[in-house]
Amino acid sequence: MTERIVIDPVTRIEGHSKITIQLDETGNVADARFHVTQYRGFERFCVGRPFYEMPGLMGRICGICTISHMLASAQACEAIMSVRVMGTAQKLRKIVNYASLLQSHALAFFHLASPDFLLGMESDPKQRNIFGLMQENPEIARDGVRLRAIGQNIIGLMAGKKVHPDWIVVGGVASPMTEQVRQDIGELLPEAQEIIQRTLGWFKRTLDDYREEVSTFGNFPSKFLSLVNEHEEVLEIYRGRLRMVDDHRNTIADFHRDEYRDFIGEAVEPWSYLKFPYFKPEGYPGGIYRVGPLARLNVIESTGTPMADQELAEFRSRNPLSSFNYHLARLIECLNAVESIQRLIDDPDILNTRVRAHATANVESGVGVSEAPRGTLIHHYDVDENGLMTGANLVVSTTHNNLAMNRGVLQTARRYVDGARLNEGMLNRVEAVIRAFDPCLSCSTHAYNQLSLHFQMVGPDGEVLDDVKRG
Amino acid sequence: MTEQEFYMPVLIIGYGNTLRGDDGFGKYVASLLAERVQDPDVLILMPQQLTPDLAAQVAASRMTIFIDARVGENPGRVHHTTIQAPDRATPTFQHHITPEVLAGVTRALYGVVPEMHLLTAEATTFEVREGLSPALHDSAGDVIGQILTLISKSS
Repeated sequence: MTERIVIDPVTRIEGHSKITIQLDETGNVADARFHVTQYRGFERFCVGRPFYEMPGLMGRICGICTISHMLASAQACEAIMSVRVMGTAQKLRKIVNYASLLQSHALAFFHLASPDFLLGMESDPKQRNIFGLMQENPEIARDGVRLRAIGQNIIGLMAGKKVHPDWIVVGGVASPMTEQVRQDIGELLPEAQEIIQRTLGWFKRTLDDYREEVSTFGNFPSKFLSLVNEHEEVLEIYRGRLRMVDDHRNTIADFHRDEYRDFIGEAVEPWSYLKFPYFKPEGYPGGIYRVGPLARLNVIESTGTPMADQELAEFRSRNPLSSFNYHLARLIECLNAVESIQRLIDDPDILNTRVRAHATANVESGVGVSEAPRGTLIHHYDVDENGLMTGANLVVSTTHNNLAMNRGVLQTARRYVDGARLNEGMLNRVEAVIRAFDPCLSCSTHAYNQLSLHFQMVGPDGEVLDDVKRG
Repeated sequence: MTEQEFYMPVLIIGYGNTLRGDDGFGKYVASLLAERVQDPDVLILMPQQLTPDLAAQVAASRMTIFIDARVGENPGRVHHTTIQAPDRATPTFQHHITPEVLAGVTRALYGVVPEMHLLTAEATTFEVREGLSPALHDSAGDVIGQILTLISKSS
């Protein structure tokens, strides 16, 4: 008799999803799937609205990745206007995107993932959360809360609001940086750097205790996609060129964002609302690739900053194909973000007051791209002769990782799930591989749900054989 | 009062969503206080909701006062509650936290909890709209009076 285990919803991620694990006659894992049960509506209800409203509207997709969405959206609109934002406005946008990355990575690493490392995969789920971490490891929890606050504070200083600011506008930014803001940001950075370096130290030591997870949590060959700087072989989080590399870091495609449809296909499966992007030249599902911190570090030659590059050199000696190493990559990117913000605020041009270009719609289509905390983010808009939206296609960061997350879930379930009886540690490991990717399903839509966890083992006739509820 | 306490400010956090009718009460009262209380010893914040990162500022205050709206059958009725930190920070994972949970987070992270008060007014509506109901407008003065008394006593 075959059986099916359902983990619904997956906890400590952004958004709503479930995992199903299909067992064979002998109780071994035959298949496993990561289902996204939310519905996306943004591509539809923007139709008919003026294109210049899009950064404000699309930024509401998510409270975590607001900045990255607004940046991709603004670029798509600027392509429609045939305007390229250069100089100071571009630098200001980069600062706020680095700050966004900092706060998001702090949330993912400390609040969502670190309870697994610090309290243990097998620990009591009632305590295996940020509040349990506060009780057991208050210093690390304090660092996490503080690092996220620093990222949020920089966004607030730059953009007027920490969440959903309206400062990123079509053509640039709404206001220049003041000397006071530059000083205030500069005072925050040393503390952020200390926290990150302290965290890198203990996490690298901790990794030695998780060798098995490193080898089984989404550890497989795949391609990697990321933005790279247009002029140098360094990390880029805003504009730039898109580059796909293979599992040996060889470039297999290097393309402009306007060409994304030549290289990225979007498949649909009936069991998930999340699309399945794939590398078109290799077809579906063979064209599996990953995005996000792990992918970015595998694609680039250099982060562009000295301390992060030192960490990158050490990172290269670890397993670059294991999704578990997303966590380490996240910390290295935090270090790079702090160094990059420092470099940008030290730029004499950063206080320049010319930060916005004005134009109307000049072409009927535009594509924008940014590196969101979770990976490459593409916004593609079409407008009519009056500049009203006629269509939108968003390829959201988490979506790129859909094939890889499914493969990771299957790999982890095959290693840890032993059929007959549900085991808390086993189920948590299956969830933890998803947390390594730090998916943000809210970018697909918004769902109101009280997060809890419900495991069911269902027989082929629909009979519930085992049932565990959490929360 | 110790020398250290003397330099710790009073923290006032008026929170809520101004796009949901009376839920904006906390921010409204806090904005009135910001106009009236020009005192570097009083720090006023107006977030949309309480978040864990506020714990650092709560821990650095000698007294924290929260202002919010609440559900009730007598619109405009004001309630004053003293906040106590729970024995352990409540292990629920949601997108908002209560003053009690923030008190627990503050103690867990920083080992201290200041004197904490919550002032609430019973709301008429939390529907999607801007502006407060007349009952909540009328109760703002009462809440401000109670807060000024608390500040005066803590000085």
